[in-house]
Formats: sequence, C-alpha cells, structure tokens
Amino acid sequence: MKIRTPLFLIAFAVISAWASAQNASGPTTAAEHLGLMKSNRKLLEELIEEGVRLGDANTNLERAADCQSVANRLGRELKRAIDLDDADRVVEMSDHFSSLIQSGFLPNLETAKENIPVGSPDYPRLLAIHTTAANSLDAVKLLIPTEGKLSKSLRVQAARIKLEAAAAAVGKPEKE
Amino acid sequence: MKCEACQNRILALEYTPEPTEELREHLASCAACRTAQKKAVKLDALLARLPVPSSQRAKAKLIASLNDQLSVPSSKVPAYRQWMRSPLPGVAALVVLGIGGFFYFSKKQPQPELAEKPRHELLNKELGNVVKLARADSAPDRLRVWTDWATDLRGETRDLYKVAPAEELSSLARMYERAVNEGIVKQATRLPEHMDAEEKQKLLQAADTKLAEGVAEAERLHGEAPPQAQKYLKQMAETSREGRRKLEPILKGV
Repeated sequence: MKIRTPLFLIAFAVISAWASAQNASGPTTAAEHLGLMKSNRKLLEELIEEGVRLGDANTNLERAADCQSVANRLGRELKRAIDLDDADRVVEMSDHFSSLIQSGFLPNLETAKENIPVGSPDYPRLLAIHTTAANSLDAVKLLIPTEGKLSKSLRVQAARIKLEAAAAAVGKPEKE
Repeated sequence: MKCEACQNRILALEYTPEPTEELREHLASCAACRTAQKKAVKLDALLARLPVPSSQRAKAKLIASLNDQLSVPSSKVPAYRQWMRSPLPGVAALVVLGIGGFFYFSKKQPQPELAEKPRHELLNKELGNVVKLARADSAPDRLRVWTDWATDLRGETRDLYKVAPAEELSSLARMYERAVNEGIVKQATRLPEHMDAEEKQKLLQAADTKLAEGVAEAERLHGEAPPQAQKYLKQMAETSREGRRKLEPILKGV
C-alpha cells in the first residue's frame, strides 16, 4: 500500500509527459518532407520563374512589379489555405507575404519614388504599381476571417496584424 | 437603527429578555425585530436546560456516548466503504483527472495553437532568395543568390531521392537546370568588365566549386538511388557539368 501511491504518481507523471510530448513538433520525417515537397512543388517552380524575371529586372520599378507578381501568387496560396481552414498554412503564407512586401517590394517602391518624378514617362507606371499593390494588400488583409474557426487562432490573428502592418507601410499613392 | 444591526445586538446581549434603551426604542416600532428578540429569549431558555456533566469523568462518558451514536462499528462497514477510506481513491481520481484534463484541453483548444506543422525549408529558402534578388541590383549579387539557390535545390534532392516519386524528382531536376543556366551562368556572363579581377575570380570560382560538388554528389547518389531517381540524378550531374563548361571560358578570361 505504501509503495503503491508513489508508483501511481510516477505513472501519472510519465503518462502526462508522454502525452505532452505528442504535441511537440519534432524534426520532419522523410514522409513529411515529401508531403511538403508535393504540396509546394508548383509554387516552387513558379518562384524559380519569378526569380529568373527578377534577375533580369534592371530597375527598381521592374523589381517592385516582379515582387508584386510573387505577392499575388502567395495571396492565391493564402486564399486556398483559408478555404481549407488550414491555420498553419495561413500563418506561413501571411509571414512570407508580409516579408516579401516589407523587404522586397517596399524598398524598391521607395527608391523608384525617389528616382521617378511626377510627370516623368515612368510616373504613371509607378502610380499604377503602387495602386495595384495597395489594393491587393487590402484584399489580402480582408481574406483573413474575423469569424469562425480560423479567427480563434491567436497566430492567425497575429498574421492579420502583420498583413495590416505591411499594408500600412505601403500606404496609398499620393494624389498629384 | 437598522433591523440587521438591532438583531445582531440582541444576539450579543448577556440577557436577552432585557434589551438596552436604544434597542427598546427600535423594538417598539418594529414587529420583525420583536419576533427576533422573542426567538432569542426562547433559545436562551432552551440552552439553560441542557444537562451539564458534573465532572471530567461524566464529560468523557457523554462524549464517548455521542461518538458511539455517530459512528458505525468497523466490522459492519462494507468493503467498498473501507476502500473509499484509503488514499487510493484520491490517487485514482488524480490520475483520471490528469489524463481527462489532458484530453479535454487538447481537444477543446484550437489544435493549431498546440501543434504547429513543420514548414518546408526549401520554400522558406526560395522565398528568401526571391527577396535577396529583389534587393540585388548587380550581377555579382545575383550570382551569389543563384549559387545558393542551386545548392538548396541540390540539398532537397539529396534529402528526397530515396523516397520521392519521379514527378517530384523531375521537378527538382528542372528547377536545378533553370537555376544553373538562367541563374548562375547568365549572371556570370553579366559580371561587369571593370569589376575587380580578384573578386570576380573568387566569385566565379565559388560558383564553379558548387557545380563541381553537384557533379560529384549526383554521381555518388546515382549509385545507390532507386531506379526512378537515377535518371534525374544523372540529369542533375549533367546540368552541373554543362554549367562548369560554360563558366570555364569566363573564368579563363578574368
């Protein structure tokens, strides 16, 4: 009787530790890795094409436009994740989307704005790219639901905030 | 005076039949408090009638007789009740609560908050490379990015060649070919003529070394690869070899 109580407690502790360990995301197995490759294959192939285009782009404006094109592709992936209620994928795509906008698109847009004065031949294109980006960011931001299963995830809520921050950083083009 | 205060003071009286002047004023005008006072008087009278043990011995006898009335002899206690008195039920309840609690919380909470699925490292790297290319405004910078990109694709092939079906391996081989030809080789041909020769040599040499590693690795993996992977590993070895051939004249011209 005296030894049973500590044994019960030890068994309980072991079971609890094992159960908790089931939730820890460990290293990817070969099967998981292959699953990721299969689900991302098309996106990876398209990114190579976009990369080649970016490598050929000679101006900040072209690079901003290419970034916008990649962002649109990620936006489609985000939409698909939302349709599937896949919170992890929503967060992943939102992270990539906001990182691309903040670190790729925005610096090129800012430099282009400095180099392209109002009234210059490239200005209408600059304005168009900025407007498209702002509209697309607004659309992507609204994709993240505020109701339902996904909206309850704290990480999805954080993803939405990130996208809002990216949208705020890009802003709307100033009117002439 | 409020009724609550009045009734509290009545209970605190030494002798309830004789309230203080202040209480009497309130009792004169409050029927509820008068009733409360009557009850208190009655309770005092009943308490006075309770038998008081005449000695310590009599007191002990009274307590023992009260205990006998309250308890049941242990020989008559059923087995399940004896078990209930042991510490086991407490431990069992703790175990059940612990396990139940775990399952309850793991099911009730949104699952993604507990277990984040692993992300695809290659996708992370490719998007990182896209951002780097977006910031790179010179051929040398782009050449560095493409050299890394091709190496990442090679790493993915190395991780998956034993388990991936032909479709995925074919895709990796195609992407590698694009990264080598449209990335490394194209940017190498665009390196500026006025670029520092030593730096240029170093850059080209780094790309060439990675391609040479690509040849060696693909040939090594080919030897132990399953049949569906051999064709694509051979293709990747050839892509690397061809890339080196194209870099050679540029390297010589430095």
